Amino acid sequence: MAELPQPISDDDSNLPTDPFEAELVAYLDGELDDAAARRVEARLATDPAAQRKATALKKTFDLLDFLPKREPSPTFATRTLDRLPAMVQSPSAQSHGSQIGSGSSNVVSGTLAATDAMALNPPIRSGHWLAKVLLAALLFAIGGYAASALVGPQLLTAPNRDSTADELSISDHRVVENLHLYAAVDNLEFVRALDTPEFFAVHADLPSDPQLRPPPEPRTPFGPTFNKQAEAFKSLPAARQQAIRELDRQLFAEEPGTRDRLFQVLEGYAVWLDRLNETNRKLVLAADSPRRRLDEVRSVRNEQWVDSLPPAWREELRKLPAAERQERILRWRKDEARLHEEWAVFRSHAPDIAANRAPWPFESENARQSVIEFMRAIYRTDDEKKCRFSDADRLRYTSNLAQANEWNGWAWYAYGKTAFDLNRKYELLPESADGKLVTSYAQLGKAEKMFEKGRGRTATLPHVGKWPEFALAVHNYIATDKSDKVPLAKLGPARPEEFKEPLRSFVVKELLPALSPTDRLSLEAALGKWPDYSRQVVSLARRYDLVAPGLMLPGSPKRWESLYVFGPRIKP
Amino acid sequence: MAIGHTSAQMALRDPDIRLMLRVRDDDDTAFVELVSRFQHRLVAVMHHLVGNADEAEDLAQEVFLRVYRNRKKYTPQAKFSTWLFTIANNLALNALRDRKRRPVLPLEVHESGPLGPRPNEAIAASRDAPPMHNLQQQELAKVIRQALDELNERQRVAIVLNKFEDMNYADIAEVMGLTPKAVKSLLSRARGKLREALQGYIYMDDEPPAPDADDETDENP
Repeated sequence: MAELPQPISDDDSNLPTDPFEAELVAYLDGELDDAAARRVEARLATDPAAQRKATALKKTFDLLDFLPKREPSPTFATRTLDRLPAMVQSPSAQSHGSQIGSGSSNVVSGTLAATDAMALNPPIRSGHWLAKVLLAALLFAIGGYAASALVGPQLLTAPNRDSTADELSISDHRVVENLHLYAAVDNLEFVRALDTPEFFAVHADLPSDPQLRPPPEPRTPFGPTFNKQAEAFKSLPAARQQAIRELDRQLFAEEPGTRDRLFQVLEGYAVWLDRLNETNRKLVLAADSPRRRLDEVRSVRNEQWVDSLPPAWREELRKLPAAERQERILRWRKDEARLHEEWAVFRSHAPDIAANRAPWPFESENARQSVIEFMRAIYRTDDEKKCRFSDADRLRYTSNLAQANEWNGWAWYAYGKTAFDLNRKYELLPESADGKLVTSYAQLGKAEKMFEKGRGRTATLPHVGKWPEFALAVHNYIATDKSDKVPLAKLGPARPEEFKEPLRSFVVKELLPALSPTDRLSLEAALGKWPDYSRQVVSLARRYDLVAPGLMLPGSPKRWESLYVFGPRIKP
Repeated sequence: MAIGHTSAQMALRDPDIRLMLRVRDDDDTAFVELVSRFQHRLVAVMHHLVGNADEAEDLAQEVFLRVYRNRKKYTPQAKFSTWLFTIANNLALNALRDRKRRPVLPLEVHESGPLGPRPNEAIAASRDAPPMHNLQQQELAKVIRQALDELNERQRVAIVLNKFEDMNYADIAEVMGLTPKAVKSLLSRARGKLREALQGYIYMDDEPPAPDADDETDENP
């Protein structure tokens, strides 16, 4: 056997054991043979003190049920499997890994890869941009205030591992190289939140000045910089190290385009932090949760944004009462974001717009019709009464379609964007193979009585007769309801065999065979759970660029996203 | 012919052993399934032992990695879970002894501090219960946790396996490398200590506490 029990210390074996108590405990645990059990029972029948002791022993043991049962975090299985590199690695992660291994600094190579993809590849001039970023970020990570806020206190903590376990493994090299970017980041969700126009999203309409791009830098994985970052990393608590590893792994599991964009966001954030004054930086770094940190970043950026306004506008804001002031700032920022978006679309598609060419997938009549037909069949866009859209959304949809049909060419972009947005806004969930749609209270079984009055009724009544809105409202209400759970009838299909064709075949024959073992595991974990399973199917189909029939717009999901999410960044 | 305990026969009976044999034979999907099947039990047990969520996950992860690394040496003997928890026991005891040798600032200090891991999880676990009830339960859980922490490492392992893995004395003995008799005595001391530490909390709902006067009379048979 690989693992043998270790020799034990006899730290407690010298203490005397009360023989009756030992018998009593064993009796309570059902570990005594019949004769011994009878002896204990006889004593209990006549000895009140023994009875009390038995009760106390049993009750204290029962008390342990009050200890919370810790569930593994959602990424536990993935992280565990990822520590077996030979076994489970998504193909994309592997390819990024090799790219990283042979290139220069991964931020640099990543940015260059993105540049290549955009076919904007003039010769890169040497400059000091990256040097400055790195210097700033390094100061941030291993010196100055940030060192004491992030690394410092943890350096003071005695390592909780053997020193041998602290040796840097090769798999950590990439993590260490990027530590200056990861050091003030909580997790991938935090990075994604930063990747919004409100924070550090890279605007597609920014001029692509090659001088602003970082020059290639020789990779020095064992130079003094690397060593300093390695030391800093090793000094972090194991949990924080693991969180940073996980962040790195998730970033490199992203599509190259997304990954490069997120790295640009991280760079922007690191530089911004570095340039903040002491007080504001402290506010951001000392936040005790990702959400609070984002709030601090938002608040500081709002101040900075206001400071950048023309004096007359600042004056206008200054005169407003606080609440109104906040509202005005929000409105102005929203307007600004919309203009950015429109401008981004225009810049990215200037030649197509000038030539009035239809964007993908509307270049061919067939593809055009398949999108229109999808929207009609699924959302009943041709039927005012049965259409799932709000009146305003239906109006937007029909007018965009009419305009596209009339004007043709680039006018299809507005239609495509509307179809895409509405497909995201009005969630599609597959119907059950037996054709039954839960759209009324009578179909809820015993749970029906939960919706007879009160908040449950209010939350669900507007959705009666609508699939999947009604079932979702019921599901959402029950998930937040604090009263005792009542058995609920099944709300929708949550297994491949419960889906209608062709979705069933899609899941079994296309999606499942394409999934990595870890993704398959996460899908299996959702089996039988509605609507989680269906949502997982759609989310994985998107990730693997597959089209789940009846749930997703026809055509490559990635192409849809690259063209119609927040204005296109990269031309397809 | 009497049925011998050959590995094939045992494997046929125990689905966990069947799964581990597939892992041994380099069936990677089997390992994925194994992690999926045992992660909840392992993390829960480790958490009860070390009292810290991140350390519990680290240890549970290490258990799985050791299972994987040692898969070729696996020979089905007793229950698979006994083998798994033998590895877990060794790692947990090492971690607990390590902690004793080199006291560190408790990791919990960082859990809600800057960039600390998942500060909301503890609250999320019990969000369905009414607030007062929650508070009472949280306080109680804290007291029980302290009582558990006061046990020595081996007592704690025995109690946790007995309570949360529902293991009998023979299995605990195998996991911990002891005789069943030693386990009986270990558990008796542990339960006695828990009874002393928690006696103020056990008559909360029903009868008042019994007078202490004759509680400690000689109970020897």
